[in-house]
Amino acid sequence: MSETSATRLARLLALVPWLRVHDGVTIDEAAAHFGVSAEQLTTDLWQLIVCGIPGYGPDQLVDIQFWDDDRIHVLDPISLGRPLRLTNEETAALSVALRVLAQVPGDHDRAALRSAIAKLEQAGTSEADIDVQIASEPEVAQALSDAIAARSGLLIEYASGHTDTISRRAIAPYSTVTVDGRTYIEAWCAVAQAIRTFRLDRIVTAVPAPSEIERPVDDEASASVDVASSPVLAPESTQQAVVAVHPDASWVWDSDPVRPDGGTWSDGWATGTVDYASEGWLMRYIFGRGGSVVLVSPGDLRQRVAASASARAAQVRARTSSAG
Amino acid sequence: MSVTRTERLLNLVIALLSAQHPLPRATIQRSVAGYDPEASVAAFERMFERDKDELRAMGIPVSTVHDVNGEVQGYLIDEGEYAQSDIDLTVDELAVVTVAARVWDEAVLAPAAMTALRKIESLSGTSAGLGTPATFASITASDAALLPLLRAIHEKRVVRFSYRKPGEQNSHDRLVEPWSIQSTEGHWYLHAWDRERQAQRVFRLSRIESAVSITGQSCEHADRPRDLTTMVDPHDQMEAIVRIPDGSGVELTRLSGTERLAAGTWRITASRKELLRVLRRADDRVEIESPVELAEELASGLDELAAMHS
Repeated sequence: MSETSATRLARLLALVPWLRVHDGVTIDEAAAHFGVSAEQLTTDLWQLIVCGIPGYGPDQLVDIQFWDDDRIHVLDPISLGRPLRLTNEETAALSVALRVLAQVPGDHDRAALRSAIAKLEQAGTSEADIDVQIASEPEVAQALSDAIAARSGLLIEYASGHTDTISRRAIAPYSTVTVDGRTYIEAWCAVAQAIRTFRLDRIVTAVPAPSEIERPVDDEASASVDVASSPVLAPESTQQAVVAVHPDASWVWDSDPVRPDGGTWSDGWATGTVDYASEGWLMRYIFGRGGSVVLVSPGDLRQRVAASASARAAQVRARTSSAG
Repeated sequence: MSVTRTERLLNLVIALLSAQHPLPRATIQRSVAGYDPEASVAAFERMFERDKDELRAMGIPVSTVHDVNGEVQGYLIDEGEYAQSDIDLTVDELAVVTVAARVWDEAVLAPAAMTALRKIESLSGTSAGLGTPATFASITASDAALLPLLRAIHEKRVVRFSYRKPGEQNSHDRLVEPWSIQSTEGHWYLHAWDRERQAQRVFRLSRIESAVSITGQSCEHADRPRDLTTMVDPHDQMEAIVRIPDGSGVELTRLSGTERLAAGTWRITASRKELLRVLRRADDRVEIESPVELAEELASGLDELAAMHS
């Protein structure tokens, strides 16, 4: 796909002031920085030096030298010496990203982050119209950031995804991965004696560990985040369930990991499939949806939903009458 | 074709930026490289109008100067308006902005973030090297609707698009005043005032099936809520006292209106619907102390769930 003239013009206009302050940069370095090939950047430079002020005499053209050792020198930027002011889109893109970083734990410099946001706002960049929600408790995020920066350990209370229970673990966090508002922590888990991935929104509390947590010496290797191989980001869903969705609950197709399979169940109910790795997770999902989503198969799990819902209903009633 | 157009646009920008006086159209046609001096006035004007619109869409402030009689005298780009004012970042600040610019990854806002960073680097006079940060963040946004909606929100203009509601086969034209865009767990939503339905609505961007067209109409509806949370109906809120044994009730205690009254006893304020949803998912040891009606509602909901699965 060829780029539009607007995209190319935006790059050409940004290129001149950038090259000016990076005098002597090589074509390869500049190309890498602007995310284009060296050929494209060379074409851009040739384009620039034939443009100029009407009259187009030797002193009226953009003057850039780039044929000695592939190093680029801007000799005369004419009127293109300063960058075009940031557009609303550019401002929004940066400020949303900065606000996301501010909420995400990690070893990035938070003081610098805050002052950068302030300076960008002062420079006339308005409040953005986009909001990206990050599921995180500020205290937990802070404790994790401190631990990653100090390379120290944490005691955490971790909520299970399968049952409504909390486990206590000692971990030594290396790094964080945030994708679309959900943050994962890569950490050495002292209980499992292995690297584990934890979901930030399931860490209920986090406090510094009283003693050092022994971790393998080659921890540097594991500290570099490899998204593709991360088990959480590429979950190994082992089984498939069939569910039916109530006709009034069509929002489920948007918000839940349910894929329509084209089938129907009864009056207006459409069926779909759900990937699941844990039966506990699937049952809690069905309980949460409270009749808007019904489990069709596997049959034994369907029976367990019925049995456990009845038992729980009886238990709730018994407690209410004994208390009343 | 595209090369000559870029060249013509660039020459036009330079000409308008360098001009001491507004450049009349005839001068532009005659002197700016890329325009055909021999072309008819009509052909030139069509081309020039399109170029001017394109530059303005990019944020380049091309101003039209009128004479005392209101006639168009010529065109100009004011350098002070064109150029970004100084943003003097320290090396550390530039480093976090560099990390931030990468957050958009392959998303539709990635080029905007990168261009913004290049501009800031030009002003700061330095570029931050990238080490291996222990933070990796990315936001994916591939919906083409994002950029035009963002522009419409900024310009406070009404938009029209074709939207397919979940579960429906056909899409329908919607005319809305866009307020804000929100991303929750990878899904993008538009909060807007629906002009035809006279109500606030949330649209999922991936369900917009046409191009978003920005109309000439300005937004008029004033009661724009700050965010999603204020769109929750306050009358639906209720209070419950719940006993939660240690080591359970994780979702309950994390609802926003939660207060610990004593060891194992919590007061929870939430919508009835949300409270029931979380109670159904909670551990068996969680008990509702009050109100009794809530416990009864929970029990009958569970009975229904059992009936549907038997």
